[in-house]
Amino acid sequence: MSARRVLSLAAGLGLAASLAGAAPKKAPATPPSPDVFAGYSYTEAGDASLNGIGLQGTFPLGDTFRLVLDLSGHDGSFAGADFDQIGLMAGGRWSPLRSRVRPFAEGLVGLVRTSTSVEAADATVSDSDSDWGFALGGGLDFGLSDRWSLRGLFHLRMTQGEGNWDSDPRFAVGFVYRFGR
Amino acid sequence: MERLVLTRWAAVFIVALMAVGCGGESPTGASAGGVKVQGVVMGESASASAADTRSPQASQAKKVTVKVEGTTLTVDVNANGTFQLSGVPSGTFTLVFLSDGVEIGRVVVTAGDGSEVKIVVQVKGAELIVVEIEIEDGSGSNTGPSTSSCSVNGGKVGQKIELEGNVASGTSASFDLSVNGRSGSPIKVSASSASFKCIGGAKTTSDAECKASVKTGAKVHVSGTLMTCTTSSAEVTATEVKVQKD
Repeated sequence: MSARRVLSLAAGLGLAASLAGAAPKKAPATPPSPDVFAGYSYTEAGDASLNGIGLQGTFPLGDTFRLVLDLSGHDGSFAGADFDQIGLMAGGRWSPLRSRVRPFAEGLVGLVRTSTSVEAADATVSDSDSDWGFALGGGLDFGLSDRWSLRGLFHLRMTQGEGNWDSDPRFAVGFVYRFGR
Repeated sequence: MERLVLTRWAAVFIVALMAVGCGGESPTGASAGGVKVQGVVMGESASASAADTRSPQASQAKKVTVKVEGTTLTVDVNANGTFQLSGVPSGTFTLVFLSDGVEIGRVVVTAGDGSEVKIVVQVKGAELIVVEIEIEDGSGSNTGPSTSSCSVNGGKVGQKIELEGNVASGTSASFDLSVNGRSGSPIKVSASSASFKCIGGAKTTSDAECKASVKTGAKVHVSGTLMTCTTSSAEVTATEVKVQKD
């Protein structure tokens, strides 16, 4: 699936959720609790389109702020070379509402390790680089039940390598499980 | 109140998504049509397995730029090592690779209109090694002049080729290769960006010594890509040259 198609899908989902009366019902007055997220994730490594999985864990610090740990793994190919990418980032999330539909914004910093390999003649040539970077983004949680939610999130990830700063989009959609009551 | 906040939030989210979705990157000076070049530049930390003896080295973050000689087309290799050039004039063109503004290598490519060139190179010190190069025509398949119009038996332009023969003339950077039974005339081999190694004979021979031993009469095995081929001549860009030692 192309990046544009994935993003269009995300936009469509967001529009549907916000305009089709995803009425933000008042959430029951339960204390914030940790949650975990797992789902499909798409990103780009420069010109390469990568698909994979995204995992997140969050821990509440007050009513509107959470600590976030984000782990992602992607792979894909470009110009005959295979790419594998693992990202580990941590940061904070701000979520102003405690309703059925919960928008959030987050900022993360961490490490992105990209491995490139290509089969050539009678050898495999490979290269790995770890780049520090940061990500800014946000998303929406749509409550399905007390414990389960559907999440769509978007990051713009900035990493530095080869003397250049890269800004790569990342999109993920999946399910959230909330612990506690 | 919550609905208002939500609606605003969703609007911001959607606008951000659409901005990214519509904001396709375009290399400097690139335009539609012509040849599309997709490439990967692997850094100095690249290592190889199997029979390849290229050794890993410390990675240095240098800004790598790719230019098409004789045009304004230029693109910076991004942090992940990829680059893309569109609208490269069809025919024979030269990709010039620069590291922090200093030329480290050139690759001559011949491709028709609508073709897509996929190239993987490795930067090793001040040297550029072509790891792989592939040319696809506009329909997405590897084609070129039909086999019957190519002087190299089994050879197709844009596809990988392996040749064995003797150096008829030239140096390690560029030589003519005589291949008995596969081509009636010597094949021109461009090996300025190829890796060199010796096979057979003394195991202690260094790669540099192997490269220096490519002289008239040397028996070599060439791996690379057939760049041009007619009924009377052919050119191969080598990615690896193995020199047979007795």
